[in-house]
Amino acid sequence: MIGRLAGGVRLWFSPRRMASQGTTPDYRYSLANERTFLAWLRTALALVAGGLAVEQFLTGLDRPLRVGIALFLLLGAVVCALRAVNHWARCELAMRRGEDLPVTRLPAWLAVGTTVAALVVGVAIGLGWSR
Amino acid sequence: MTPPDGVAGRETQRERTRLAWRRTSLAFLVAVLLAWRGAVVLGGGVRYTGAVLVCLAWAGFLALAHRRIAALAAAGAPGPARPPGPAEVLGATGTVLAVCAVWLVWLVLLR
Repeated sequence: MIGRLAGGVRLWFSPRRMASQGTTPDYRYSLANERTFLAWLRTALALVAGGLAVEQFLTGLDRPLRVGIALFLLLGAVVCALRAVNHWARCELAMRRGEDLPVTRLPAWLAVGTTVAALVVGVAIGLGWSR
Repeated sequence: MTPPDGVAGRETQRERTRLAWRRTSLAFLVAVLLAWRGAVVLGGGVRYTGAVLVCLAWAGFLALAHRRIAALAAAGAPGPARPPGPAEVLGATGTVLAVCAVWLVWLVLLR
């Protein structure tokens, strides 16, 4: 488990290690992979902006609740950004080796997390759970 | 769907990737503006420090995006475009993480 993790992280940093695997795929797929990476990064940035907005604009909420929601969104952004680079590397590797692309359950968890955050904010505002 | 082929297809791919870097730079700007809004409206030295750090992270991201866009343009038609180096990919992730770190520290430790 730790060995696999370390191997994955080493792959992020080493273009030679990546290039030594399999054969160079059609560059159009590599560019598509790059755009997917950027789309995940934008999702992370949207979560950062959401966290900052909650912290700045929902001043009517109790501070622990407000900071809690902001932290939840910012930690989501951290996970998204790390996942972006990891998924980019895994997809690039799978394409070079001619294997199936990696599957992940992160989109499902991201949807659940965003729903929970939206519900908490909605309930807090709706119940007048404020100072 | 089969990707478009030929010189036009290649150019489309490059253009879309270039625009994706631009879009991401603009998305970053929203976080920068919110950070500055917090500093100006709510005040406080720590908020200003955070806003300046987020600005620096954005500048770093812009430099990486510019480098990547230049590499895409330099590859030129009709040759294949080089895939992004880990410098761009990791740097882009790193700058987003840096922004998160600034605000996590702000929220948890400094208030």
